[in-house]
Amino acid sequence: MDKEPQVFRIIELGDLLENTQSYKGAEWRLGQICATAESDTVELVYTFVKGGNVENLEIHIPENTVVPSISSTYLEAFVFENETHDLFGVDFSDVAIDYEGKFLKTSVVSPGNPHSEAAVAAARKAGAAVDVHEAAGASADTHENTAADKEGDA
Amino acid sequence: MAKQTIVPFGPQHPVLPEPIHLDLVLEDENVVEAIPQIGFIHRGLEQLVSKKDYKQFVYITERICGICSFGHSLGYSQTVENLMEVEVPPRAEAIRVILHELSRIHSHILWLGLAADAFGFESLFMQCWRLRERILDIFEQTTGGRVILSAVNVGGVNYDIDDAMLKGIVEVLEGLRADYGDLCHVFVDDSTVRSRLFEVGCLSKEDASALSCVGPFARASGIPEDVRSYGYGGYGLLSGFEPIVSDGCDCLARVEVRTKEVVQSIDIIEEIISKMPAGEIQNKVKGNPGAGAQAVARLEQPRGECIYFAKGNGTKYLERFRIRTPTAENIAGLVQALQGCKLADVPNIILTIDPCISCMER
Repeated sequence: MDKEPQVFRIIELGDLLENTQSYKGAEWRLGQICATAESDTVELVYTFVKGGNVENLEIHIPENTVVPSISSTYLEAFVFENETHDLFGVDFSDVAIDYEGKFLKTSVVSPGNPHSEAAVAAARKAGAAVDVHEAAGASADTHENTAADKEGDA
Repeated sequence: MAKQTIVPFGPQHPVLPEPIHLDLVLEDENVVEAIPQIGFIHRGLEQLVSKKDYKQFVYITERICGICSFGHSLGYSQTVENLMEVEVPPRAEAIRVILHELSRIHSHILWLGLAADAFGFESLFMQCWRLRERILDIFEQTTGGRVILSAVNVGGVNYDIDDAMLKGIVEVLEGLRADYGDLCHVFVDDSTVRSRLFEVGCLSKEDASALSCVGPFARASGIPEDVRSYGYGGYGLLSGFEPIVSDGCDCLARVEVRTKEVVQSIDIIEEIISKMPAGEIQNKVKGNPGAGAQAVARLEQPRGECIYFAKGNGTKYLERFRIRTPTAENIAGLVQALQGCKLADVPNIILTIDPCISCMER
């Protein structure tokens, strides 16, 4: 039985827009954008489809890199780019419809990539909130002590 | 210029089985712009690849959505088979096609019922769902399940279908074909139905192509794109395949395409049964997907082309698995089709892309 051909091509981030426009010019469809978190990079796979052919562009980007949006070439990319931002913390510039992190409602910031800047900042903020709590508790204790001290003094 | 008003549509709405929100920008009764919002039922199912091994995960994929359950388990299995270069026995491929086309029939008839309900034809809705029960009965007889079939695994299928049962499937489908013809006549020719669907929610061929639309939504705008026509898997057994296409570009054309695809699926099942290969239904799969190995697979789900991506890491757990569903690909086309329509037609137009939000958000 026939199986689909598997074509994966690694490119540099700087060549993304040029490659995308070439595919658009040759009437390929955008199939999907998929992100995978690696140890200190994020892999982005752009899949293009034309008839029975499928080709994938693979890009490895360091953490906190801003990726140019391809939504000016393929409007439907806005769905995948917003999704990738919310799940993996990858920032895209000039997205046609940018939900600014409010596309998917997740209980954790960038759950697919805990090393992303957004996830780390959220963890720090959560940690800070605990500290504030502890500080408030400490303050209350201090207050009680002071009151007890006063009673004792009385 | 008329005053613009923003009307929120959804996420809870009688016409929507699942939640999606649209901000509709109106000038009087006309929709000027529609801004979609999703994310209400994101469950993070893809992330479970780190908890379930690649053989167990097939049972997670079929729980992504109740209607496309078989298709997702099939798409996932095909992706892992591409990843590990596993050959599937021809009989297993044929059984996969039979079950997948039965899923398409039940999905399309379910959708036709929902469409009838949306434009206020409740008896038609009930007649559609009554017919659909016959397909669910076939699922129950062949696999034991009506929604979650657990019929596919990596390397083959879990259940064989014997000759007597295959003959029974053909008899049920022939009975369905006769009764279904009467329903199609109402959907395509009834004047009240046409008045709600004709020239409503138009999406031109150029727009559908530019926005990469897929499935019956794209084929109703004249794009002859159907993954089944490339003959992957068991579809290679067919003598030929021509996608059902319409140039109507409106809601009525989307109904027509789906009504014809049900008949086409019955023909496919009957042809596959007439050529049913003998032999094994399962190849034993040993080892794990290689580190860094990547693969994609495409499957024509009832709602359109679905793309599956998997990446291995050398262990029994996948590094990454992703599904790009047809609804995600058709959202941009939906936004385009809504521009310029009347507010009262919005529910019908949304329904004609057959949105599946559970699949899209996973």
